[in-house]
Amino acid sequence: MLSARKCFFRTCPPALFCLLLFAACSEMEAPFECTDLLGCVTVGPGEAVKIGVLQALSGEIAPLGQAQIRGLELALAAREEKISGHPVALHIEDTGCTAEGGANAALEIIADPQTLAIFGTTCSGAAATAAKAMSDAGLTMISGNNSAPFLTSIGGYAAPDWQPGYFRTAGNEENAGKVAAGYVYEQLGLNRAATINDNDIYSKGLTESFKNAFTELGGTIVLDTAINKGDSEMAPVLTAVVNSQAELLFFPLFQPEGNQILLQARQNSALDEVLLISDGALIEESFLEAVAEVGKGMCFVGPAQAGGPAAQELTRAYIARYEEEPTVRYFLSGYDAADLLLHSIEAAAVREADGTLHIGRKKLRDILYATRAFKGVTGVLNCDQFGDCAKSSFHVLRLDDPSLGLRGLEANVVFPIPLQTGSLNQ
Amino acid sequence: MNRLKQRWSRLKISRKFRTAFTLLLFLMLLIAATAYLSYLSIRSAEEDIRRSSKIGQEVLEMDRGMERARRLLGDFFMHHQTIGLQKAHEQYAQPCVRQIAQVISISSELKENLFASPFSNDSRIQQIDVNLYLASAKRFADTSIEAVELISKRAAPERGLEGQMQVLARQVEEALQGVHALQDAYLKANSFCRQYLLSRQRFHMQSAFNSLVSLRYALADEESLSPPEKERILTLFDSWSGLAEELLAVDLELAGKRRDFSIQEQIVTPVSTALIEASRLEEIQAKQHIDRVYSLASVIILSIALLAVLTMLTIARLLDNTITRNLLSLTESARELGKGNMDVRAREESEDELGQLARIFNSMAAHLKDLVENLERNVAQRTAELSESEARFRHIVSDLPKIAVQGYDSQRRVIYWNRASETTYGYSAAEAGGKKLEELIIPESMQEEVVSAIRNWYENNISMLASELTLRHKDGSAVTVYSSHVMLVNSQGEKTMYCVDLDLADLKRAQAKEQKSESFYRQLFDHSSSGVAVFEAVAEGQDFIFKDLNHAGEEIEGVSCEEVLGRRLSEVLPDVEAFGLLDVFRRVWQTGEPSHHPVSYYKDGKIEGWRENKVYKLPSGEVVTVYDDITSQKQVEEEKLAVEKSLQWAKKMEAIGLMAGGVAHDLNNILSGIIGYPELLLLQLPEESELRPPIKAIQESGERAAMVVADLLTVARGVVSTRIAASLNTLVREYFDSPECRQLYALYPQITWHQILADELADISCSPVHIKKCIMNLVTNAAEAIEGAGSVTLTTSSRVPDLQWARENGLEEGHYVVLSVTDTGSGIPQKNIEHIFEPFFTKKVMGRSGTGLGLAVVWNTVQEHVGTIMVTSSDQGTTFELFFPAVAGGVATEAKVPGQKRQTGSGETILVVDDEPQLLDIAASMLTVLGYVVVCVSSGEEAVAYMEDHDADLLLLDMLMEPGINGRQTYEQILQLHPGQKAIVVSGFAENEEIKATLQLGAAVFVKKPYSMEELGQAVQKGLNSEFLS
Repeated sequence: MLSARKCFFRTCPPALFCLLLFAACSEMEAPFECTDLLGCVTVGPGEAVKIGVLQALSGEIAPLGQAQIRGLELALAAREEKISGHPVALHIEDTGCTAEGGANAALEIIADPQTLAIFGTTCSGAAATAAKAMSDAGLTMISGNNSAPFLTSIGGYAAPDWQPGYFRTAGNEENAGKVAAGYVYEQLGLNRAATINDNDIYSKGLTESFKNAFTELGGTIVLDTAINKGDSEMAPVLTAVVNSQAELLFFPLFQPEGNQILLQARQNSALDEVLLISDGALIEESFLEAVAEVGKGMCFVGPAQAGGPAAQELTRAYIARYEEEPTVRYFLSGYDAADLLLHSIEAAAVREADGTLHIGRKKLRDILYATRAFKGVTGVLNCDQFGDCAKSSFHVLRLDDPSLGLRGLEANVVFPIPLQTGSLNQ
Repeated sequence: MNRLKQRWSRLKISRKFRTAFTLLLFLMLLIAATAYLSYLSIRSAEEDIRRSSKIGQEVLEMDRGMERARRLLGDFFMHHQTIGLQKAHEQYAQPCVRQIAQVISISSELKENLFASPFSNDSRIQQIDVNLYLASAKRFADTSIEAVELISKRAAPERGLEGQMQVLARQVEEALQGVHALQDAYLKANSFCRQYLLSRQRFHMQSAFNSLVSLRYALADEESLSPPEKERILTLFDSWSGLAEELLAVDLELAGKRRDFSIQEQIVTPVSTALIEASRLEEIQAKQHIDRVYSLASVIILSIALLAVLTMLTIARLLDNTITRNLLSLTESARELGKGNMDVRAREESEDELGQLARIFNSMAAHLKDLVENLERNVAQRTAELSESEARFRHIVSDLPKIAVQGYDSQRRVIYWNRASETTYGYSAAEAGGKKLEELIIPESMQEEVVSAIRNWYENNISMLASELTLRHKDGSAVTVYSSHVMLVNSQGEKTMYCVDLDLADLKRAQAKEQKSESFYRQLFDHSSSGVAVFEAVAEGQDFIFKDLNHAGEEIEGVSCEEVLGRRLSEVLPDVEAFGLLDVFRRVWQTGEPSHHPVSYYKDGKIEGWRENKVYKLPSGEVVTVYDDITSQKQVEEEKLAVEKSLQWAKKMEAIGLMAGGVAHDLNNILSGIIGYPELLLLQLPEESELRPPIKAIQESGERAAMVVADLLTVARGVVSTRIAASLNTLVREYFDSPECRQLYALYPQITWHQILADELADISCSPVHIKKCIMNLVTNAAEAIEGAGSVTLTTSSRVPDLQWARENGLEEGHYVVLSVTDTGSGIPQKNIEHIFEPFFTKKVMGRSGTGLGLAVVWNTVQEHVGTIMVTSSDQGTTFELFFPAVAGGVATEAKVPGQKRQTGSGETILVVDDEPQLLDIAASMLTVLGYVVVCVSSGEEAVAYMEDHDADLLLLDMLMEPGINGRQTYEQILQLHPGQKAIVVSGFAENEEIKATLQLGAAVFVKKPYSMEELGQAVQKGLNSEFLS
């Protein structure tokens, strides 16, 4: 009996060990090997997925940046703040809505090798510099607010500032200039136009597309000038407009320069008959509040706003979460950008048994480029090879009754152009 | 506890000690391990401190660099307008770029150091911060360079935008001179522009633009200006506006850059602060870690030490209780036992070795007691055993076969007679008992001697030696025994002598048989054709003495057996040690293994020759050598070898000859130009011409090259066969008087030169030129072999070498004259000696001196003179000995007369035939100078054609003219046209069969290329004056 017990104790542990080893081996998976051309980001168990956020968060443009961040927050909230079971860490930087601000903020984001993607920017000028840095570093960037044609494509070809890995859910405003030109030339019969840009690629791109469309229609550009961001003395440039005998002034500017042009123009009686038309950057509650009655009669060319049930649902969620009405409608495209990004990250992630995620940087880009029929709150999203994911559809709005606020303005479409499918949105 | 005690008690002492010491060792190891781990931890922390300190230093340096770069860039912006752009570039912009490059370099290095190391994860310094710092630094670099470029574009003197605008403004002012209305408007526009330049507010420039628009309208209405003037002014306005727009763009960009710098600073400042703080914290943390480790290690070491002390005390107590006390108890018991107390017993408390020892002690004590009690019984038993043993030995002695043992008392009466004695001597024990020795077995002739010897032994203790004795059998026959004796004394002092006799009858019979066998081998020994010698080892096998030598051996060595018998081998053959045979003898003697001493040459004063030995050891210990004299056979082999070697050498030289001959021909043709043209040129140049020295140098170089070619030909083709009888002494003296020798004196002033010339020296049949060449080559080599001071000695002597030496060195027996050249140089390495006579073998620095032909010339010359060369060399110097056969009588000498007057012609016609245009030209020029009429043709065929219609007093024929007919063929054909035609032959080859044939056809003389004018003149004269002899 004793020898049997001894035998048991001698043979049992090795046998158990072998069994355990066998069990372990049978469940053991091959270690992940990154073959992605741009490298992989590995997110360990319990670690957060890092996303950089570049938005304009200071100055009068801040509401636009804030709206974008809120769109992102809403998208995260819809996913219970997690991507594939991992929390999300946001590294938020302010671009100041300038090119240099965008470049430097991008450097801060890129410095962390764990950062997977960038959500931003607000301004196209900042996007141009940030996208270059981002693209060189192998990241992916998506914006819900950039609309300058220079960032993606112009006329079906890659634009000068196009960068691989850059996407947007805001419409390419290449068509916005055409819409504005069509309105003033065809509907109003105006022939002489003056343009003012602020040397930002957004406003330059827009004036450029307006000029081309206007001259193509038969109109004449009698003045094409610029102001600098930060300028407040607009009398000389408005004098130039007067001197040019222009019938309309197209000034796609941001706040506060756009405000100053409007306010000072209204003080110049020689411009009383001149039509003032601006862009979507000023379709914003704070602008309307700032200019109040003075803005009466002024026109805006801006994206056709989504008004479907999803957008309404999101707007309700916005109000519930932030306990206020949205001051701009761009939080919708911001939400779409964030949602598309988060969805693509989940699709690109390779998950290990312990929860570790491996996300190939190029794979993420490829998934985004391959986006088709993605159901967004602003409509169905299809990304083309230049990163444009939203349809570009624009209206001209006229501010007839400032007291109705943003909703009143958005409702007053004076030039409803049928939904256009640009060459970029196949 | 009791259980533990019992267990301890059961342990063996060694186990107890082992347990105690293991415990102690474990504690010591624990202390050491703690100390070592502490050391490792502290070292790691120190490394961290060092690293953190370095990183902190780098971060500070980086930060300071960045700060300096910013300051420099700010200064550039601020001061470029006051100190000028160029100076601002040098003072601020360039240092700024250098500074930022340094910052980038430091931050890259920092990044690499931080994150390439395995400790990077432990670092407080964030990779993100360093990445950001590096990226910001690079961006600052790019931005600052762009900003500087923008400033340059804006403010560069003359070509800058502002400068250009000023120029245009002046031009507009000039154009509007006198048009006051326009001037005022323009001044207004200009004022806005100036305001812009001061404030850089865009609206000022816009106002200026607006003013210009008004001005354009006003200009259009102005009647005082002509349309072209207006057009020009408008163009100026356009240009100015363009520049202003450009300036606005530049200023806008610059403003952007400034904002960029500001943002960068905002980003970098907290990062650099964080980096510095992180590195500082790392250092502090590492120091704190060290302190903690020190404290912890101290506590642990102290605790373990205390534990060790306690353990030691416990162990000591345990050992005292269980070992020391037991030992003392055991010692006390042993002492009691020693005193005779057989009942004493030790305590048997423990189970260890002491317990066992106590049990053994008790057992021994009991056993001892038992032994004492039983001693008497044991003695009786032992006595009985001894008696039994004695009976057994008595029986053995009694029955020993062949060994007769007898016992005698002092009166020589038999008291013991074994069975072998009965057999050996025929007496039974009963018969022999009581009878005297001499009555029984001692022959009468020995009786007195034996009785005396026995008495002496009994009375005087003089023992009898054992020896072979012939005793007497009962039947009277002789019995040969080997008898030995022993005297036994019993306890009462009574003596009894015992004789032990070994019967030698069988041995004697065997000896007789052996003698017969020896005779047979003796016959073989005596009649063997090989020499056979037998030796006996002496001096412990170090030398051997001759024991025998057969007839063949006597004949081979020329000695008789009697002469060498008993003499040492080393005495008979004094050089046998060096010969190597003695070693073989020693080896064979020591090992018993046969050995072979290969064919070797033995020589001493008396005996010499080639021997081959086979050495054996005989069972007797003697060494035998069987050997043969193979001197004759060896001589035949050597002669054959010498012939083969000579043939190989001849073939080698023939091959070299073929090559060298061709080369020599071409070289001689080339050298003809190098020697000939300078001579012609020198004739035309005045004595004071500066060109003479270089041309002479060319000529001399050519002549030296010709000498080398001559050497080549000597090596290749041998020495021309013309010989005269000459005295070697004379040749040596002539050499010492020659310019070449004087040149050597000058070159080697530290060398002493000696001549030791024999008084009466026979002449040698030789080519004096070549012998002197040999002397020169040997003496030159000797001088070059000496570094610094030394001496060169030339000796002449007569020698008659012995036959063997002569044969070995390929000489005939006879009288030789020897020339020795000895130097005190460093000698020739042994490995090189066999190659030194090969052509082109040289150890001199190539190109400095030596062509590798010198000794080859010497060798060939000596061989051609049927002599030989001996070389002996050591680190003390080298001696070359040249052996030349002496001649009994003199031969008519023929010496060249130096400095003969140039031979000139008297307008005789000479047809020069040579296929080399250059040589044709040289010959024609020389002959023209010498006063001849020269006709040149370039082939044998042309020469024959010419001679069909013309006459010539002499033909100058080149021998080899390819591809046409050669000189001999040409001469043959011309002789058919002009029988008795005089001719001389020239060739770049040495004299060969074709040349000899041409000479036999009637050509007067052979001139070797390259020739001098003097040589050509003499040859032509000789040719003209010759009688056609063919």
